[in-house]
Amino acid sequence: MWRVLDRSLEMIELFFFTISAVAVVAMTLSVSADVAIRSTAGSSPGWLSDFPTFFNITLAFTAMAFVFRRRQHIVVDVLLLNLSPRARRVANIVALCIAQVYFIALFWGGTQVAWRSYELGNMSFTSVEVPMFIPQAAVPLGALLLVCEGVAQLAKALRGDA
Amino acid sequence: MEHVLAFGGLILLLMLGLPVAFALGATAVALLLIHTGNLYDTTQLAIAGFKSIDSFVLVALPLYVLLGESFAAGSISQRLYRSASALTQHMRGGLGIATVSSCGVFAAISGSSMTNAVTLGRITIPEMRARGYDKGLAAGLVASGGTLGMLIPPSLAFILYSALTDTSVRDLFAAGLMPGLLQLALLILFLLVMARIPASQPAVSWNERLSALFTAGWALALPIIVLGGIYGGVFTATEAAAVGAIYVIAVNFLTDRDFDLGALWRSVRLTVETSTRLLSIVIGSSLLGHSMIILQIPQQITAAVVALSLPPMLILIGLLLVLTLLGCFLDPISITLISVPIIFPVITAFGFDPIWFGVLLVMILELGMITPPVGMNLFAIQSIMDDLRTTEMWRAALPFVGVSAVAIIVVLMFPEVATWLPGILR
Repeated sequence: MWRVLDRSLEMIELFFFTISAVAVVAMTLSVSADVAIRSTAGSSPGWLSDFPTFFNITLAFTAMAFVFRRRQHIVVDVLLLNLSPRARRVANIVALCIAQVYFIALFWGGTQVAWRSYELGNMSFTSVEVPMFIPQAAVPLGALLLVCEGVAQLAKALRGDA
Repeated sequence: MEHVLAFGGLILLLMLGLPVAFALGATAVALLLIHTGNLYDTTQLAIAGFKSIDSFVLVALPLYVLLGESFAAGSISQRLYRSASALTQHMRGGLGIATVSSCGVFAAISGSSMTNAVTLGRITIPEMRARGYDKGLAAGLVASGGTLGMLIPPSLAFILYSALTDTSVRDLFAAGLMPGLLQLALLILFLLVMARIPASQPAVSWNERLSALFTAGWALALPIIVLGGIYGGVFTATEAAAVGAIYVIAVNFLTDRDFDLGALWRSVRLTVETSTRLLSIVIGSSLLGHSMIILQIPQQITAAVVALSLPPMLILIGLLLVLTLLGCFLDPISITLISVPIIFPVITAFGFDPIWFGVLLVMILELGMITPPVGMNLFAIQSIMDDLRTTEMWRAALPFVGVSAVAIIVVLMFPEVATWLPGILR
Protein backbone atom coordinates (compact mmCIF):
# COMPACT_ATOMS: atom_id res chain seq x y z
CA MET A 1 0.00 0.00 0.00
CA TRP A 2 2.75 2.40 1.07
CA ARG A 3 4.80 1.62 -2.06
CA VAL A 4 1.80 2.21 -4.31
CA LEU A 5 1.18 5.60 -2.68
CA ASP A 6 4.84 6.57 -2.98
CA ARG A 7 4.99 5.44 -6.61
CA SER A 8 1.79 7.40 -7.38
CA LEU A 9 3.27 10.50 -5.78
CA GLU A 10 6.43 10.08 -7.85
CA MET A 11 4.34 9.83 -11.04
CA ILE A 12 2.44 13.02 -10.13
CA GLU A 13 5.69 14.85 -9.39
CA LEU A 14 7.19 13.56 -12.64
CA PHE A 15 4.12 14.81 -14.50
CA PHE A 16 4.64 18.34 -13.15
CA PHE A 17 8.38 18.09 -13.80
CA THR A 18 7.53 17.27 -17.42
CA ILE A 19 5.16 20.26 -17.51
CA SER A 20 8.12 22.38 -16.35
CA ALA A 21 10.27 20.95 -19.13
CA VAL A 22 7.55 21.88 -21.63
CA ALA A 23 7.48 25.35 -20.05
CA VAL A 24 11.24 25.71 -20.73
CA VAL A 25 10.70 24.79 -24.40
CA ALA A 26 7.73 27.17 -24.64
CA MET A 27 9.75 29.95 -22.98
CA THR A 28 12.65 29.50 -25.43
CA LEU A 29 10.40 29.42 -28.49
CA SER A 30 8.32 32.35 -27.30
CA VAL A 31 11.27 34.67 -26.60
CA SER A 32 12.99 33.66 -29.87
CA ALA A 33 9.80 34.21 -31.86
CA ASP A 34 9.45 37.63 -30.23
CA VAL A 35 12.96 38.59 -31.43
CA ALA A 36 12.43 37.12 -34.91
CA ILE A 37 9.06 38.82 -35.49
CA ARG A 38 10.29 42.14 -34.10
CA SER A 39 13.37 42.03 -36.34
CA THR A 40 11.39 41.28 -39.49
CA ALA A 41 8.06 43.06 -38.92
CA GLY A 42 9.21 45.91 -36.68
CA SER A 43 6.97 44.92 -33.76
CA SER A 44 5.73 41.70 -32.19
CA PRO A 45 2.64 40.62 -30.25
CA GLY A 46 3.11 41.64 -26.61
CA TRP A 47 2.08 38.26 -25.23
CA LEU A 48 5.23 36.70 -26.68
CA SER A 49 7.29 38.60 -24.11
CA ASP A 50 4.67 38.39 -21.32
CA PHE A 51 4.08 34.63 -21.25
CA PRO A 52 7.71 33.53 -20.64
CA THR A 53 7.48 35.05 -17.15
CA PHE A 54 4.42 32.89 -16.43
CA PHE A 55 6.25 29.83 -17.81
CA ASN A 56 9.19 30.62 -15.52
CA ILE A 57 6.86 30.79 -12.49
CA THR A 58 5.41 27.39 -13.46
CA LEU A 59 8.92 25.96 -13.82
CA ALA A 60 10.15 27.33 -10.49
CA PHE A 61 7.30 26.08 -8.32
CA THR A 62 6.00 22.88 -9.90
CA ALA A 63 9.31 21.07 -10.46
CA MET A 64 10.59 21.67 -6.92
CA ALA A 65 9.07 18.52 -5.39
CA PHE A 66 10.52 16.16 -8.02
CA VAL A 67 13.95 17.78 -7.62
CA PHE A 68 13.55 17.36 -3.83
CA ARG A 69 12.73 13.65 -4.29
CA ARG A 70 15.84 13.21 -6.41
CA ARG A 71 17.87 15.03 -3.71
CA GLN A 72 19.08 17.50 -6.31
CA HIS A 73 18.64 20.60 -4.15
CA ILE A 74 21.81 22.27 -2.89
CA VAL A 75 22.69 21.05 0.62
CA VAL A 76 25.54 21.97 2.97
CA ASP A 77 26.74 18.53 4.09
CA VAL A 78 29.99 19.46 5.84
CA LEU A 79 28.64 18.56 9.28
CA LEU A 80 26.41 15.68 8.17
CA LEU A 81 29.30 13.76 6.63
CA ASN A 82 31.02 13.68 10.02
CA LEU A 83 28.00 12.36 11.93
CA SER A 84 27.24 8.75 12.76
CA PRO A 85 24.48 7.13 10.65
CA ARG A 86 22.09 7.32 13.62
CA ALA A 87 22.79 11.02 14.27
CA ARG A 88 22.47 11.71 10.54
CA ARG A 89 19.06 10.03 10.52
CA VAL A 90 17.91 12.13 13.47
CA ALA A 91 19.18 15.31 11.77
CA ASN A 92 17.32 14.31 8.61
CA ILE A 93 14.05 13.79 10.52
CA VAL A 94 14.38 17.13 12.35
CA ALA A 95 15.23 18.91 9.08
CA LEU A 96 12.22 17.37 7.32
CA CYS A 97 9.88 18.42 10.16
CA ILE A 98 11.15 22.01 9.98
CA ALA A 99 10.86 21.99 6.18
CA GLN A 100 7.22 20.96 6.56
CA VAL A 101 6.52 24.20 8.46
CA TYR A 102 7.83 26.15 5.47
CA PHE A 103 5.91 24.06 2.93
CA ILE A 104 2.64 24.36 4.86
CA ALA A 105 3.07 28.12 5.35
CA LEU A 106 3.80 28.54 1.63
CA PHE A 107 0.79 26.38 0.73
CA TRP A 108 -1.54 28.24 3.09
CA GLY A 109 -0.27 31.71 2.11
CA GLY A 110 -0.23 30.84 -1.60
CA THR A 111 -3.80 29.49 -1.47
CA GLN A 112 -4.98 32.69 0.26
CA VAL A 113 -3.33 34.87 -2.38
CA ALA A 114 -4.62 32.91 -5.39
CA TRP A 115 -8.12 32.58 -3.91
CA ARG A 116 -8.27 36.32 -3.15
CA SER A 117 -7.20 37.12 -6.72
CA TYR A 118 -9.92 34.78 -8.02
CA GLU A 119 -12.59 36.43 -5.84
CA LEU A 120 -11.54 39.95 -6.79
CA GLY A 121 -11.15 39.05 -10.47
CA ASN A 122 -7.59 40.43 -10.58
CA MET A 123 -6.08 40.47 -14.07
CA SER A 124 -2.43 40.69 -15.13
CA PHE A 125 -0.99 43.98 -16.46
CA THR A 126 -0.01 42.34 -19.73
CA SER A 127 -1.06 42.85 -23.35
CA VAL A 128 -3.32 39.78 -23.15
CA GLU A 129 -5.03 40.00 -19.77
CA VAL A 130 -4.72 36.77 -17.81
CA PRO A 131 -6.62 36.10 -14.55
CA MET A 132 -3.86 36.42 -11.93
CA PHE A 133 -5.04 33.41 -9.96
CA ILE A 134 -3.81 31.13 -12.77
CA PRO A 135 -0.06 31.93 -12.48
CA GLN A 136 -0.46 32.47 -8.72
CA ALA A 137 -1.91 28.96 -8.35
CA ALA A 138 1.59 27.62 -9.11
CA VAL A 139 2.64 28.65 -5.57
CA PRO A 140 0.12 26.53 -3.60
CA LEU A 141 0.36 23.73 -6.16
CA GLY A 142 4.14 23.54 -5.84
CA ALA A 143 3.89 23.86 -2.04
CA LEU A 144 1.27 21.08 -1.87
CA LEU A 145 3.56 18.77 -3.84
CA LEU A 146 6.37 19.67 -1.43
CA VAL A 147 4.14 18.91 1.59
CA CYS A 148 3.33 15.47 0.12
CA GLU A 149 6.96 14.80 -0.78
CA GLY A 150 8.06 15.97 2.69
CA VAL A 151 5.59 13.56 4.33
CA ALA A 152 6.79 10.72 2.08
CA GLN A 153 10.44 11.40 2.95
CA LEU A 154 9.60 11.70 6.63
CA ALA A 155 7.79 8.36 6.56
CA LYS A 156 10.77 6.77 4.80
CA ALA A 157 13.17 8.26 7.34
CA LEU A 158 11.08 7.03 10.28
CA ARG A 159 10.85 3.55 8.76
CA GLY A 160 14.60 3.61 8.21
CA ASP A 161 14.28 3.40 4.40
CA ALA A 162 16.03 6.70 3.63
CA MET B 1 17.20 38.80 19.44
CA GLU B 2 15.78 38.70 15.92
CA HIS B 3 19.31 38.95 14.44
CA VAL B 4 20.39 35.94 16.45
CA LEU B 5 17.31 34.03 15.35
CA ALA B 6 17.78 35.00 11.71
CA PHE B 7 21.44 34.08 11.40
CA GLY B 8 21.68 31.41 14.10
CA GLY B 9 18.51 29.68 12.90
CA LEU B 10 19.66 29.73 9.29
CA ILE B 11 23.09 28.30 10.13
CA LEU B 12 21.49 25.59 12.30
CA LEU B 13 19.08 24.57 9.55
CA LEU B 14 21.88 24.48 6.97
CA MET B 15 23.99 22.32 9.29
CA LEU B 16 21.05 19.94 9.77
CA GLY B 17 21.27 19.26 6.04
CA LEU B 18 18.10 21.05 5.04
CA PRO B 19 18.38 22.18 1.40
CA VAL B 20 19.55 25.81 1.26
CA ALA B 21 16.32 26.92 -0.45
CA PHE B 22 14.13 25.45 2.28
CA ALA B 23 16.41 26.61 5.12
CA LEU B 24 16.04 30.18 3.87
CA GLY B 25 12.25 29.84 3.57
CA ALA B 26 11.83 28.15 6.95
CA THR B 27 13.91 30.85 8.66
CA ALA B 28 11.74 33.50 6.98
CA VAL B 29 8.53 31.83 8.20
CA ALA B 30 9.90 31.43 11.75
CA LEU B 31 11.03 35.08 11.90
CA LEU B 32 7.69 36.37 10.69
CA LEU B 33 5.60 34.13 12.92
CA ILE B 34 7.64 35.00 16.01
CA HIS B 35 7.51 38.72 15.16
CA THR B 36 3.82 39.01 14.35
CA GLY B 37 2.37 35.79 15.81
CA ASN B 38 -0.15 35.77 12.99
CA LEU B 39 -0.38 32.98 10.41
CA TYR B 40 -2.18 35.34 8.03
CA ASP B 41 1.12 37.21 7.52
CA THR B 42 2.45 34.21 5.60
CA THR B 43 0.33 35.45 2.68
CA GLN B 44 2.89 38.26 2.41
CA LEU B 45 5.60 35.63 2.08
CA ALA B 46 3.66 33.85 -0.68
CA ILE B 47 3.33 37.17 -2.51
CA ALA B 48 7.06 37.87 -2.03
CA GLY B 49 7.91 34.38 -3.36
CA PHE B 50 5.68 34.86 -6.40
CA LYS B 51 7.03 38.35 -7.13
CA SER B 52 10.63 37.16 -6.88
CA ILE B 53 10.13 34.98 -9.96
CA ASP B 54 7.67 37.30 -11.73
CA SER B 55 10.51 39.09 -13.55
CA PHE B 56 11.59 39.03 -17.19
CA VAL B 57 15.26 39.31 -16.12
CA LEU B 58 15.00 35.94 -14.33
CA VAL B 59 13.61 34.29 -17.48
CA ALA B 60 17.24 34.55 -18.64
CA LEU B 61 18.31 32.03 -16.00
CA PRO B 62 16.72 28.84 -17.44
CA LEU B 63 17.47 30.05 -20.95
CA TYR B 64 21.21 30.40 -20.29
CA VAL B 65 21.18 27.05 -18.49
CA LEU B 66 19.54 25.50 -21.59
CA LEU B 67 22.15 27.14 -23.79
CA GLY B 68 24.97 25.67 -21.67
CA GLU B 69 23.40 22.22 -21.39
CA SER B 70 22.74 22.01 -25.15
CA PHE B 71 26.30 23.12 -25.82
CA ALA B 72 27.64 20.49 -23.44
CA ALA B 73 25.43 17.78 -24.99
CA GLY B 74 26.83 18.26 -28.50
CA SER B 75 30.34 17.97 -29.84
CA ILE B 76 30.93 21.69 -30.41
CA SER B 77 33.02 21.92 -27.24
CA GLN B 78 35.31 19.14 -28.50
CA ARG B 79 35.81 20.96 -31.79
CA LEU B 80 36.51 24.17 -29.91
CA TYR B 81 39.26 22.50 -27.90
CA ARG B 82 40.77 20.75 -30.94
CA SER B 83 40.93 24.10 -32.68
CA ALA B 84 42.59 25.87 -29.73
CA SER B 85 44.99 22.96 -29.40
CA ALA B 86 45.97 23.04 -33.09
CA LEU B 87 46.67 26.77 -32.86
CA THR B 88 48.80 26.65 -29.70
CA GLN B 89 50.38 23.19 -29.34
CA HIS B 90 53.74 24.29 -30.76
CA MET B 91 54.05 26.98 -28.06
CA ARG B 92 55.49 26.45 -24.58
CA GLY B 93 52.56 25.26 -22.44
CA GLY B 94 50.47 25.26 -25.61
CA LEU B 95 48.01 22.60 -24.52
CA GLY B 96 47.48 24.33 -21.16
CA ILE B 97 46.92 27.62 -22.98
CA ALA B 98 44.44 25.87 -25.28
CA THR B 99 42.65 24.53 -22.20
CA VAL B 100 42.27 27.86 -20.41
CA SER B 101 41.42 29.65 -23.67
CA SER B 102 38.70 27.09 -24.38
CA CYS B 103 37.47 27.65 -20.82
CA GLY B 104 37.31 31.38 -21.59
CA VAL B 105 35.33 30.89 -24.80
CA PHE B 106 33.10 28.23 -23.26
CA ALA B 107 32.55 30.59 -20.31
CA ALA B 108 31.11 33.08 -22.75
CA ILE B 109 28.59 30.42 -23.69
CA SER B 110 27.68 28.39 -20.63
CA GLY B 111 27.48 31.04 -17.90
CA SER B 112 28.13 28.41 -15.24
CA SER B 113 31.43 27.43 -13.62
CA MET B 114 30.65 23.80 -12.91
CA THR B 115 29.21 23.10 -16.37
CA ASN B 116 32.31 24.74 -17.78
CA ALA B 117 34.72 22.70 -15.63
CA VAL B 118 33.01 19.33 -16.11
CA THR B 119 32.32 19.67 -19.84
CA LEU B 120 35.81 20.79 -20.75
CA GLY B 121 37.47 18.69 -18.06
CA ARG B 122 36.19 15.48 -19.67
CA ILE B 123 37.84 16.47 -22.95
CA THR B 124 40.96 18.34 -21.86
CA ILE B 125 42.26 16.48 -18.80
CA PRO B 126 42.82 13.09 -20.53
CA GLU B 127 44.46 14.93 -23.45
CA MET B 128 46.81 16.92 -21.19
CA ARG B 129 47.74 13.85 -19.16
CA ALA B 130 48.43 11.88 -22.33
CA ARG B 131 50.88 14.61 -23.34
CA GLY B 132 52.77 14.54 -20.03
CA TYR B 133 51.02 17.15 -17.92
CA ASP B 134 50.95 16.45 -14.20
CA LYS B 135 47.46 15.32 -13.17
CA GLY B 136 47.29 17.95 -10.42
CA LEU B 137 48.22 20.74 -12.83
CA ALA B 138 45.67 19.51 -15.39
CA ALA B 139 42.95 19.33 -12.73
CA GLY B 140 43.83 22.72 -11.23
CA LEU B 141 43.90 24.40 -14.65
CA VAL B 142 40.44 23.19 -15.59
CA ALA B 143 38.96 23.86 -12.14
CA SER B 144 40.35 27.38 -12.21
CA GLY B 145 39.58 28.01 -15.90
CA GLY B 146 36.06 26.82 -15.23
CA THR B 147 35.45 29.67 -12.80
CA LEU B 148 35.71 32.10 -15.70
CA GLY B 149 32.15 30.99 -16.50
CA MET B 150 30.90 33.15 -13.65
CA LEU B 151 32.80 36.25 -14.71
CA ILE B 152 32.94 36.31 -18.50
CA PRO B 153 29.49 37.24 -19.78
CA PRO B 154 26.86 35.88 -19.92
CA SER B 155 26.96 34.86 -16.26
CA LEU B 156 24.20 33.36 -14.13
CA ALA B 157 25.66 35.02 -11.03
CA PHE B 158 25.33 38.46 -12.65
CA ILE B 159 21.72 37.72 -13.64
CA LEU B 160 20.86 36.84 -10.02
CA TYR B 161 22.78 39.86 -8.65
CA SER B 162 20.91 42.09 -11.09
CA ALA B 163 17.54 40.64 -10.07
CA LEU B 164 18.35 41.22 -6.38
CA THR B 165 19.75 44.73 -6.68
CA ASP B 166 17.97 46.25 -9.69
CA THR B 167 21.30 46.93 -11.39
CA SER B 168 21.60 46.59 -15.16
CA VAL B 169 22.46 43.07 -16.42
CA ARG B 170 23.90 44.69 -19.53
CA ASP B 171 26.31 46.81 -17.43
CA LEU B 172 27.22 43.84 -15.23
CA PHE B 173 27.99 41.66 -18.25
CA ALA B 174 30.20 44.42 -19.70
CA ALA B 175 31.89 44.98 -16.33
CA GLY B 176 32.78 41.29 -16.00
CA LEU B 177 34.54 41.02 -19.35
CA MET B 178 37.84 42.84 -18.61
CA PRO B 179 38.39 41.22 -15.17
CA GLY B 180 37.59 37.87 -16.84
CA LEU B 181 40.19 38.46 -19.54
CA LEU B 182 42.64 39.67 -16.88
CA GLN B 183 42.19 36.43 -14.98
CA LEU B 184 42.60 34.43 -18.18
CA ALA B 185 45.87 36.28 -18.89
CA LEU B 186 47.11 35.69 -15.34
CA LEU B 187 46.36 31.97 -15.66
CA ILE B 188 48.36 31.77 -18.88
CA LEU B 189 51.18 33.78 -17.28
CA PHE B 190 51.24 31.40 -14.30
CA LEU B 191 51.35 28.44 -16.65
CA LEU B 192 54.26 29.85 -18.61
CA VAL B 193 56.31 31.17 -15.70
CA MET B 194 55.60 29.03 -12.66
CA ALA B 195 54.24 25.66 -13.69
CA ARG B 196 56.28 22.60 -14.65
CA ILE B 197 55.04 21.81 -18.12
CA PRO B 198 56.19 19.21 -20.65
CA ALA B 199 57.97 20.08 -23.88
CA SER B 200 55.85 21.62 -26.61
CA GLN B 201 54.50 19.56 -29.50
CA PRO B 202 55.55 19.97 -33.13
CA ALA B 203 53.61 22.65 -34.96
CA VAL B 204 50.79 21.56 -37.23
CA SER B 205 50.58 22.94 -40.75
CA TRP B 206 48.71 26.17 -41.44
CA ASN B 207 46.19 24.20 -43.50
CA GLU B 208 45.38 22.05 -40.47
CA ARG B 209 45.18 25.11 -38.22
CA LEU B 210 42.77 26.86 -40.59
CA SER B 211 40.72 23.70 -40.93
CA ALA B 212 40.52 23.34 -37.11
CA LEU B 213 39.56 26.98 -36.80
CA PHE B 214 36.86 26.52 -39.42
CA THR B 215 35.32 23.53 -37.60
CA ALA B 216 35.23 25.56 -34.38
CA GLY B 217 33.64 28.48 -36.21
CA TRP B 218 30.15 27.53 -35.05
CA ALA B 219 31.27 27.76 -31.42
CA LEU B 220 33.30 30.94 -31.90
CA ALA B 221 30.32 32.64 -33.57
CA LEU B 222 28.12 32.14 -30.52
CA PRO B 223 29.68 34.73 -28.17
CA ILE B 224 29.66 37.17 -31.09
CA ILE B 225 25.93 36.55 -31.65
CA VAL B 226 25.03 36.72 -27.95
CA LEU B 227 27.22 39.64 -26.86
CA GLY B 228 27.06 41.42 -30.22
CA GLY B 229 23.27 41.22 -30.11
CA ILE B 230 23.12 42.61 -26.57
CA TYR B 231 25.55 45.50 -27.07
CA GLY B 232 24.46 46.15 -30.66
CA GLY B 233 21.00 46.89 -29.28
CA VAL B 234 19.38 44.04 -31.25
CA PHE B 235 18.08 42.23 -28.20
CA THR B 236 18.12 42.17 -24.40
CA ALA B 237 20.25 39.83 -22.28
CA THR B 238 17.22 37.56 -21.77
CA GLU B 239 16.41 37.44 -25.48
CA ALA B 240 20.08 36.77 -26.27
CA ALA B 241 19.87 33.62 -24.15
CA ALA B 242 16.89 32.29 -26.13
CA VAL B 243 18.49 33.13 -29.48
CA GLY B 244 21.75 31.53 -28.33
CA ALA B 245 19.97 28.38 -27.16
CA ILE B 246 18.10 28.02 -30.47
CA TYR B 247 21.38 28.59 -32.34
CA VAL B 248 23.25 25.92 -30.37
CA ILE B 249 20.42 23.39 -30.73
CA ALA B 250 20.23 24.06 -34.49
CA VAL B 251 24.03 23.74 -34.87
CA ASN B 252 23.97 20.49 -32.87
CA PHE B 253 21.29 19.03 -35.15
CA LEU B 254 23.12 20.18 -38.28
CA THR B 255 26.66 19.17 -37.37
CA ASP B 256 26.44 16.38 -34.82
CA ARG B 257 25.03 13.00 -35.82
CA ASP B 258 24.75 11.87 -32.21
CA PHE B 259 22.57 14.80 -31.20
CA ASP B 260 18.96 13.69 -31.65
CA LEU B 261 15.61 14.53 -30.05
CA GLY B 262 16.48 12.28 -27.09
CA ALA B 263 19.67 14.30 -26.44
CA LEU B 264 17.70 17.52 -26.71
CA TRP B 265 15.10 16.26 -24.21
CA ARG B 266 17.90 15.27 -21.81
CA SER B 267 19.30 18.80 -22.07
CA VAL B 268 15.85 20.24 -21.32
CA ARG B 269 15.43 17.95 -18.29
CA LEU B 270 18.87 18.93 -16.96
CA THR B 271 17.88 22.55 -17.53
CA VAL B 272 14.76 22.07 -15.41
CA GLU B 273 16.78 20.42 -12.62
CA THR B 274 19.45 23.14 -12.52
CA SER B 275 17.00 26.02 -12.94
CA THR B 276 14.67 24.70 -10.24
CA ARG B 277 17.61 24.33 -7.87
CA LEU B 278 18.58 27.96 -8.45
CA LEU B 279 15.08 29.45 -8.62
CA SER B 280 14.01 27.72 -5.39
CA ILE B 281 16.94 29.46 -3.66
CA VAL B 282 15.85 32.74 -5.24
CA ILE B 283 12.38 32.20 -3.73
CA GLY B 284 13.75 31.25 -0.29
CA SER B 285 16.15 34.20 -0.33
CA SER B 286 13.40 36.66 -1.28
CA LEU B 287 11.22 35.35 1.56
CA LEU B 288 14.04 35.79 4.07
CA GLY B 289 14.82 39.21 2.60
CA HIS B 290 11.14 40.16 2.96
CA SER B 291 11.00 39.01 6.59
CA MET B 292 14.22 40.84 7.40
CA ILE B 293 12.91 44.05 5.83
CA ILE B 294 9.74 43.81 7.97
CA LEU B 295 11.99 43.42 11.01
CA GLN B 296 14.30 46.19 9.67
CA ILE B 297 17.35 43.94 10.05
CA PRO B 298 19.29 45.23 6.96
CA GLN B 299 18.72 48.84 8.10
CA GLN B 300 19.98 48.00 11.61
CA ILE B 301 23.05 46.23 10.22
CA THR B 302 23.79 49.17 7.90
CA ALA B 303 23.42 51.64 10.80
CA ALA B 304 25.68 49.52 13.01
CA VAL B 305 28.38 49.26 10.32
CA VAL B 306 28.20 53.01 9.57
CA ALA B 307 28.46 53.74 13.32
CA LEU B 308 31.80 51.92 13.43
CA SER B 309 33.30 55.04 11.76
CA LEU B 310 35.90 52.93 9.94
CA PRO B 311 37.29 53.87 6.52
CA PRO B 312 34.84 52.61 3.85
CA MET B 313 37.57 50.67 2.04
CA LEU B 314 38.39 48.80 5.24
CA ILE B 315 34.72 47.86 5.63
CA LEU B 316 34.59 46.70 2.02
CA ILE B 317 37.69 44.57 2.48
CA GLY B 318 36.19 43.16 5.70
CA LEU B 319 32.98 42.23 3.86
CA LEU B 320 34.96 40.62 1.04
CA LEU B 321 36.95 38.58 3.56
CA VAL B 322 33.74 37.36 5.20
CA LEU B 323 32.39 36.40 1.76
CA THR B 324 35.65 34.60 0.97
CA LEU B 325 35.31 32.63 4.20
CA LEU B 326 31.69 31.77 3.37
CA GLY B 327 32.86 30.70 -0.09
CA CYS B 328 34.90 27.92 1.51
CA PHE B 329 31.74 26.29 2.90
CA LEU B 330 28.75 27.39 0.80
CA ASP B 331 28.11 27.31 -2.91
CA PRO B 332 28.39 30.67 -4.71
CA ILE B 333 24.76 31.05 -5.77
CA SER B 334 23.58 30.49 -2.19
CA ILE B 335 26.09 33.05 -0.91
CA THR B 336 24.91 35.60 -3.47
CA LEU B 337 21.27 35.09 -2.59
CA ILE B 338 21.82 35.03 1.18
CA SER B 339 24.33 37.85 1.49
CA VAL B 340 23.37 40.42 -1.15
CA PRO B 341 20.06 41.50 0.46
CA ILE B 342 21.98 42.06 3.72
CA ILE B 343 25.20 43.71 2.53
CA PHE B 344 23.95 45.63 -0.51
CA PRO B 345 22.43 48.43 1.64
CA VAL B 346 25.83 48.76 3.39
CA ILE B 347 27.61 49.00 0.03
CA THR B 348 25.26 51.68 -1.30
CA ALA B 349 25.33 53.55 2.04
CA PHE B 350 29.10 53.95 1.64
CA GLY B 351 28.71 55.12 -1.96
CA PHE B 352 30.49 52.19 -3.65
CA ASP B 353 29.65 51.53 -7.29
CA PRO B 354 27.14 48.63 -7.26
CA ILE B 355 28.42 47.36 -10.63
CA TRP B 356 32.01 47.29 -9.39
CA PHE B 357 30.92 45.56 -6.19
CA GLY B 358 28.96 43.02 -8.26
CA VAL B 359 32.15 42.13 -10.15
CA LEU B 360 34.17 41.89 -6.92
CA LEU B 361 31.48 39.69 -5.39
CA VAL B 362 31.52 37.32 -8.36
CA MET B 363 35.34 37.19 -8.30
CA ILE B 364 35.23 36.31 -4.59
CA LEU B 365 32.65 33.61 -5.33
CA GLU B 366 34.92 32.30 -8.09
CA LEU B 367 37.70 32.09 -5.55
CA GLY B 368 35.38 30.09 -3.29
CA MET B 369 34.74 27.65 -6.15
CA ILE B 370 38.38 26.53 -6.08
CA THR B 371 39.13 27.05 -2.38
CA PRO B 372 39.32 23.91 -0.23
CA PRO B 373 37.57 22.29 1.56
CA VAL B 374 34.28 22.70 -0.35
CA GLY B 375 35.25 24.42 -3.59
CA MET B 376 32.51 23.20 -5.90
CA ASN B 377 34.76 23.05 -8.97
CA LEU B 378 37.20 20.86 -7.05
CA PHE B 379 34.40 18.35 -6.43
CA ALA B 380 33.32 18.64 -10.05
CA ILE B 381 36.81 17.83 -11.32
CA GLN B 382 37.25 15.03 -8.80
CA SER B 383 33.98 13.50 -10.02
CA ILE B 384 35.54 13.03 -13.47
CA MET B 385 39.03 11.93 -12.27
CA ASP B 386 38.96 8.57 -10.51
CA ASP B 387 42.64 8.57 -9.49
CA LEU B 388 42.76 12.05 -7.92
CA ARG B 389 42.63 12.06 -4.12
CA THR B 390 40.99 14.93 -2.26
CA THR B 391 44.26 16.11 -0.73
CA GLU B 392 45.93 16.05 -4.16
CA MET B 393 43.11 18.15 -5.57
CA TRP B 394 43.42 20.65 -2.69
CA ARG B 395 47.18 20.94 -3.20
CA ALA B 396 46.71 21.38 -6.95
CA ALA B 397 44.17 24.15 -6.41
CA LEU B 398 46.32 26.33 -4.12
CA PRO B 399 48.46 28.08 -6.81
CA PHE B 400 45.28 28.90 -8.72
CA VAL B 401 43.72 30.34 -5.58
CA GLY B 402 46.75 32.67 -5.54
CA VAL B 403 46.17 33.66 -9.20
CA SER B 404 42.51 34.48 -8.49
CA ALA B 405 43.49 36.47 -5.39
CA VAL B 406 45.91 38.58 -7.47
CA ALA B 407 43.13 39.32 -10.00
CA ILE B 408 40.78 40.36 -7.16
CA ILE B 409 43.40 42.69 -5.66
CA VAL B 410 43.94 44.33 -9.07
CA VAL B 411 40.19 44.95 -9.54
CA LEU B 412 39.90 46.17 -5.93
CA MET B 413 42.78 48.65 -6.37
CA PHE B 414 41.82 49.71 -9.89
CA PRO B 415 38.00 49.76 -10.17
CA GLU B 416 38.34 51.05 -13.74
CA VAL B 417 39.24 47.51 -14.84
CA ALA B 418 35.56 46.70 -14.23
CA THR B 419 33.84 50.05 -14.72
CA TRP B 420 35.62 51.23 -17.88
CA LEU B 421 33.80 49.05 -20.42
CA PRO B 422 30.21 49.60 -19.18
CA GLY B 423 30.94 53.35 -19.23
CA ILE B 424 31.93 53.16 -22.89
CA LEU B 425 29.05 50.91 -23.95
CA ARG B 426 26.36 52.94 -22.15
